[in-house]
Amino acid sequence: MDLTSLVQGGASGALLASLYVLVALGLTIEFSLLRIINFAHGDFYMLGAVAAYYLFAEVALPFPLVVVVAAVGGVILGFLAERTLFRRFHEDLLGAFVLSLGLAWVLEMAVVGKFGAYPKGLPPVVAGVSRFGQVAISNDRIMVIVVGSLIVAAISLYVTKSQVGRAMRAVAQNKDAAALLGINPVFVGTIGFVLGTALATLAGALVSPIFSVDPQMGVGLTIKAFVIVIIGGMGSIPGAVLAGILLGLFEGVGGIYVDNAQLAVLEFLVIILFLILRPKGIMGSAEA
Amino acid sequence: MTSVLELDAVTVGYGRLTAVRDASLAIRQGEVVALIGPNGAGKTTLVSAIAGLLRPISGTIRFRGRDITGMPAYRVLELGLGLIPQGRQLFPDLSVADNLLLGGYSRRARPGRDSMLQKMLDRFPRLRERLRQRAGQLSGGEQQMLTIARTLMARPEVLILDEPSLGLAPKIVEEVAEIIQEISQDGTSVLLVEQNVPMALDLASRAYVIEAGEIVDRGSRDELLQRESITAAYLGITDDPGGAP
Amino acid sequence: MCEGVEATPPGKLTAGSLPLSALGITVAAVICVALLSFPSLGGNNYQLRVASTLFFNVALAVGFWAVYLTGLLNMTQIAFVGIGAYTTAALAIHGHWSMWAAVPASVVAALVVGVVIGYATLRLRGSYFFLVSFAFLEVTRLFFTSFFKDQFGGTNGLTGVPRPPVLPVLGASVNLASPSGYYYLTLGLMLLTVTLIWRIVSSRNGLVLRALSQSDSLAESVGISSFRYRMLIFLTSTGLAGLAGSIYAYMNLVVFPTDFGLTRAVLVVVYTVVGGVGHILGPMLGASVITVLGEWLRRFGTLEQLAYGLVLVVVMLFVQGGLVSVPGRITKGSGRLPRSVARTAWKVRLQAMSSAAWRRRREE
Repeated sequence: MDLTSLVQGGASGALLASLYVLVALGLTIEFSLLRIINFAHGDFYMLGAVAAYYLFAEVALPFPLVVVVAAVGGVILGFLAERTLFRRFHEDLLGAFVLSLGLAWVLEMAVVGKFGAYPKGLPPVVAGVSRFGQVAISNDRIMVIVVGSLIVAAISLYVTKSQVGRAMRAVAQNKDAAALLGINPVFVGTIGFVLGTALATLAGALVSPIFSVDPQMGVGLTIKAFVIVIIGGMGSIPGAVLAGILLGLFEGVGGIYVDNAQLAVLEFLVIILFLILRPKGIMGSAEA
Repeated sequence: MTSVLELDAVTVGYGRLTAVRDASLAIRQGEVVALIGPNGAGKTTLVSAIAGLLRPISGTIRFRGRDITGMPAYRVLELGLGLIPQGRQLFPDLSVADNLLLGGYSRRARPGRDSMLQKMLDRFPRLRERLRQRAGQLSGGEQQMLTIARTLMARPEVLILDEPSLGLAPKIVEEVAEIIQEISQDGTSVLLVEQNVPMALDLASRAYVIEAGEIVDRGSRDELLQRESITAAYLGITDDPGGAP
Repeated sequence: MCEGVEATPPGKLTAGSLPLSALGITVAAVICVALLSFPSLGGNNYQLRVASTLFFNVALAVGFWAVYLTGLLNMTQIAFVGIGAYTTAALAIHGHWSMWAAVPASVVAALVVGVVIGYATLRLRGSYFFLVSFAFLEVTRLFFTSFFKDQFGGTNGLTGVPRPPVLPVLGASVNLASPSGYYYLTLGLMLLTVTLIWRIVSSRNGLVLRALSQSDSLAESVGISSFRYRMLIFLTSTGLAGLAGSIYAYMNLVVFPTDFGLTRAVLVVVYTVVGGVGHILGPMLGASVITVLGEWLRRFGTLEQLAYGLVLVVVMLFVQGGLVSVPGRITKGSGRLPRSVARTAWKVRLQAMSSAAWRRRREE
């Protein structure tokens, strides 16, 4: 086995892992608090990337500002989506799923109408390539891996140490008991949804210089995020982080040896096996 | 004397099914009142409605003269009414410290939260030893102490305890009884829901009896202890050996 | 916190099936006769083609609905349509199989894969099942895209499926490869689907499970295996999907991997939800309305798909029972489940709770 290509694969894996974890975190938080699966989650990621395309490639705002604007946009979108659409579907898995399927469809088609159906690329943010011996990694990729990991660390810290984060975990484990301590589960759920959406749009903007921007980029990622949430244990944050890293590395390294379609089929078989052997996920215990 | 908590003809149900019919009761300042009755009589349903976890179908619930019927639980707590739910509803995957800190989440608990936390840890030293452990790993008795301490963090004026003795060893039941006595001596009014009638009547000055969703009897402890229906059914003072601990 | 609801003693559960009145049967018979005679009464080719699409979509929606009733959002259905279509196309093109051999073989192929998938996934909880079924849909499409390219043609698909034969029916001859031939093929598919699904869903177990689709343990506590019932419904739906795929191959004479992707699967969800899940008429109505609407919307390009999404969101937010609930709402403001189902649900719930409470009391 060739060590250089293995390390190169590992680097691609690290990139995928930071993306996967950012997106899966939001999905798992939403599930743990509201017991819904938001199928439009990946489309929020897509919206973040599309916004970054306009703001960075066309308006030429500085990239850090682009990412911040995308995250703030995600906060607003998430708040509106939760208030107007998802509020009535808390704890209604099928209903929320069908609703979000419609929302995903609408978002995607609306973007196709404005942006066009074909992928577009962004110019690099940090031009150039860094070399580590034989291995070359573009600076943009390093930027995404570093910034992505920092954000994941910050979110984990927020959820474990802050009073609101503690309240989120409490609502996820026992909603009635949380309410009896003065915690408003609906409010905490809204915070979680908004946080999840903002993470998705932020991720979209962050990776837009690397992956081309495309109205259909959301669906595939939604599925990936589901896989991660399930393998990590529905609703578990450390589980999602771990599973996201595993899946990213698996794809990064596996991508050296087989093509994408074969990888997808392989992944499917792994998931089926996993679900049969360990249906609650790596760290799962909070499934409703 | 005015009542701090007053229920007037409260009916609660699930869907089309009525679980509690026309329940009326009142608790006065500083009192310990017991609500006793067999399993499935509707006790938990009734206190869930008082605390705001369920919305009554009809009737009114007043807390310090204020109508709280149908108010959500998190707002009821802010007003000063705390419920310790049946079955030690902890957050099992959170640490003991996190569980206690969540007790200090409400606005009402925030001023002086740290000193309250110290007070709780002094009162329940075993929790101090286990602060970093997951709450789910505690013993049943420790879990009950933690649920009580957690709710006390918000300094409720009325405390409802739903079957605090359920599933605990007799020695721990005694400890729980002692704590309830202390809480009451601090001026908190207590509604104690129990199947363990000897314990309930030991602590309470008055009691209500609920059967099949209706309050069928009420009275002071001494009155109720005179009644054969109570002694036979709940204290086991007949030929029937079951029931009495 | 469900104490206090143990009023009824454990009793016998009655069937309480959905009402199938004489009037209903008459109406159904009249509609069938009208549908059967439509081509000979001078429906033009365009109308016949739209009608065929409509029947096809109704069949898919009813098959999807049946699995939905057991609490599962089944995204595999379109994958099985694809498996049926590819089996037919490959056997007919490469193996020169006749229609009489290729159609049953396609159903069997769908069923064989269905048994494997069903055993692996039907015990899973709703959210897990949904994910796996979704992944299966994608993986099947990818499989036809990049595996066995000599047999399945990769992204170019399989072209040149032989036309279906001319059949002698009662002395006359029906050309199955004509618009009226396709009309009858899809009509047959729809009637078969509706009949089979209706029989299963309106059985006693079917009613109970519909009522309890959220709670397996409750269903099992009254002695009904939700796994076996789900398997039965899933396989019925899967076999019918394979049949539909086979007919699809004969109608279009070409099959592409993209024919069996997410778009079509989502459309089936739209049919069902827009029509309403409370009654079998819901998916039938939804598929009919949207198929006709889609013919009209087609001229607007991508706006067509945007419209589907919007319709789905609006229906979910404002007409939760779907179109089928609208007359009932206007007349009596009824709820979401038909009354017979709701009634069965309560009986079962009471029985389960009281027997649980009763067991508890005996143990004490």
